[in-house]
Formats: sequence, C-alpha cells, structure tokens
Amino acid sequence: MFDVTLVNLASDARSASADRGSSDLGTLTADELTALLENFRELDPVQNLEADPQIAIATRREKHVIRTGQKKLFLYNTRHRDEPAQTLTATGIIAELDGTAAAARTVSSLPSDLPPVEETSAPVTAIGPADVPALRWRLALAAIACALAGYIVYSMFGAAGGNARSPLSRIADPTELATDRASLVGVYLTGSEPGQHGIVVLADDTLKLFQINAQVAPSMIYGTYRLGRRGAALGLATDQPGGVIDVLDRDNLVFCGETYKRIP
Amino acid sequence: MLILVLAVVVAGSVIGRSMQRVHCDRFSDDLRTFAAAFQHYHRQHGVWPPASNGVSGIPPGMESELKDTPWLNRTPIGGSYRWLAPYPGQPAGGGLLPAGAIAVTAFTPDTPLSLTAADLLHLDARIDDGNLATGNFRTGFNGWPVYLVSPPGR
Repeated sequence: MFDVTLVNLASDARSASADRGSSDLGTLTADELTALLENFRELDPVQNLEADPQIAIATRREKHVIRTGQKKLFLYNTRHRDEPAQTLTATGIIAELDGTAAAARTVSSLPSDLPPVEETSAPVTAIGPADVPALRWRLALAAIACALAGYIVYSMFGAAGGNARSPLSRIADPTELATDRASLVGVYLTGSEPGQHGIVVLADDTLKLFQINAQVAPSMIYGTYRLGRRGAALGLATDQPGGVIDVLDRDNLVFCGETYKRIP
Repeated sequence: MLILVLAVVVAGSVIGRSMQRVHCDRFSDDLRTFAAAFQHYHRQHGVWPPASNGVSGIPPGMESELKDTPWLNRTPIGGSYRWLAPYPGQPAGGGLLPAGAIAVTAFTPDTPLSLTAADLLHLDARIDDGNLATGNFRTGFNGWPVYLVSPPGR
C-alpha cells in the first residue's frame, strides 16, 4: 500500500496546472498506483513544463517523488537527493517501492551454486532497499572471515592428514605393559654393513637409533617411545620423525620401510 | 577487528609457507647438483665414491666434484648431507635400489630437520614421481629424506 500525494495534478493525473497545489489521494493499491502512473506518463508536455507536477509516494520506510517527461517516469528518493533519478516503467517503480526489485538484485549477486533454501512457514522480516548495501557488506565480511578461518584450520590440520595412520591405543593393564616391554628390550639391526641401521630398545621407555659407519663409531640419536597396540599388533610410538616402530614379532621390528632383526 | 586478527595470522602462515617452499626448492636444486657430481665421478671411475665414513665430510675422491657446492653446509631444510655408497652384497639407501644415495641426517641436535609431510610430498613432486615410497626421492631411516643416485645412463 502506498500513501500518495499529488502536486499540481488532477486527481487522475491526466492534466496539470500550477494553481492546483498539493492534494492527498490517500492509500492506493499497487494496481491503482500503476494506473495513476500510466496516466501521469501520458501528461501533456506543455502542461508538464508549466506546472512542474509530481507525485509524492510514502512507503513504510521511504519517501519518493516521481516526475515525468518525454513519456518516461523518473523516480527520486527524497533521502538521497544527490543521487540521479531512476528512469523506470510504472511496474518498475512499484517494484522499487515495495522492495521486490532490491531483493531480486541481492539474490542475483549471490553465487549460483548455493544449495536451495528450504521454504519455511516462519514470518519473514521485510528488508528495505536502504538495508541491502549494509546486508551485502556484512555478508561479504562474514564470507571473508569464514575463508580466513577455513585457511587457518586447513593449514593446521589439512596438510598433515595425507599419510595418517591409525594411532596406537594404550595398554591399560600395567602387568601386560611390563611384560610386553620386557619382551622387546634388546638390540635390532638391518645388517652389519656400514650404512645400515639399528635400534636399541631400553626398558625405561627410551631408545637409540643408530647408523653403522665404516671407520668411526655409529651415528646415534636418542629418543623415547610409548608402547601401544594397533589392533592385535604391538607398536612403539616414538618421538622421532619416523613415527611408529611396528613389532612384527618378538625378534623383528619394522621402521621406515626397513626390517630390523634382533641380535642375540 | 576479528578479520584483522585472522588476516594477520593467515599472512604469517602464508609467508612462513612461502619461505619453507623456497628452502625446499633450494634443497631440491642442491640434490640435483650433487647427484650430477656423483654420476660424473661414476662415469669417470666406473664405481661410486666410498661413503663419508659417518661424518659429514666430503666423500673421498669427490673433493673437486663438490668444490664450490654447499655439501658441507647445513642443508636448507636442516640436517647434514651424507653420501651412502653401495657396499658388497647390499645396496645403499636401506636396501632400496642398487644405487648410491644422498641422505640427509640430523644426528647432531644443532642441525634439526624442519620438514613436514607436506614438504616431503612437495619435494617428491618437484624432483621425482610424487610418491615417497617409490622413485629416487624417498623417506629413509627415521623418516629422513634420501635421494637415490643411479649410475649414469640408467
């Protein structure tokens, strides 16, 4: 519904004169206003020039003024006097006034591959044309924040997930843990040649990884481990880049693709 | 304000990743240079040079080949370069292939390795087949990178 006031116009907007002044038409429906605007558009150019008529329309949020010329309608927003007029048809003006045009512009600016929104019976709050830029700005900021947060989450967890193996589960029973640990304590080698490797498993949850050298003492690195299970198999979760040492059986370990055999 | 904080965090992350990628690229360039030097030695002598004997020195006979290279420096991704020569009956590189191998080791705590799984995959894609279990670039002992060097012409 639109509150309509005519300025220098007859009540049907078909004629204009400078001495008519302002007359309030009251509240019109969209169809009544459309018909009035069509009459106004057909106004005699001489009368239009002499009387400078206009139609003032107030909606719940905005006030607009409509002028005519060359069989066109020009819509002005009284709150934004410095903005140029919009040249529209009568139905286009109705769409601007009731907000459907602004809503259509907002929908068309959203990505087309968004999932369809389910219709609900909840009441919908009308969004006025003046709210649309602020809403867009907020949506853009929210999208930027989501993108930044998503990047941070990806950089924290996404890159490390490529070669993930299921973690070892803890052995809760202390007696079982001690027995398993005692059974694995020892020295394991891939071979005895220079360049080959060894693991020393100690009873205090520490281990040594070493590489055999030709003429000097083995190169050694010290680490810790936690005994656990992956399914039925035992494993030693180390603090080293190589990760878990898999226990094939009491005498054979597998670490980073190499098999280590226990030495007596 | 929230967006500003997030943007700073993301910018720091992006810069850090970019720097790490630069280091990885320098590292892969070094590996190619060293591999070419060892292959040149093999072409000249018909055998691989002997191993570095467990120290981070230049392998015997490779002094001229590795002159003016960063072999003795800390690698761009941390750790030290070592040459693993094939030995009788067993190939180098943990029994991977009948080839020599350039290994990166971090036995000394003053040169820790700073490589993530993503870095290793990036390196493998850059200089090999993108699979850390196959090809010339692999993870070897303790998850440290190994670059297998095949004889020239193979």
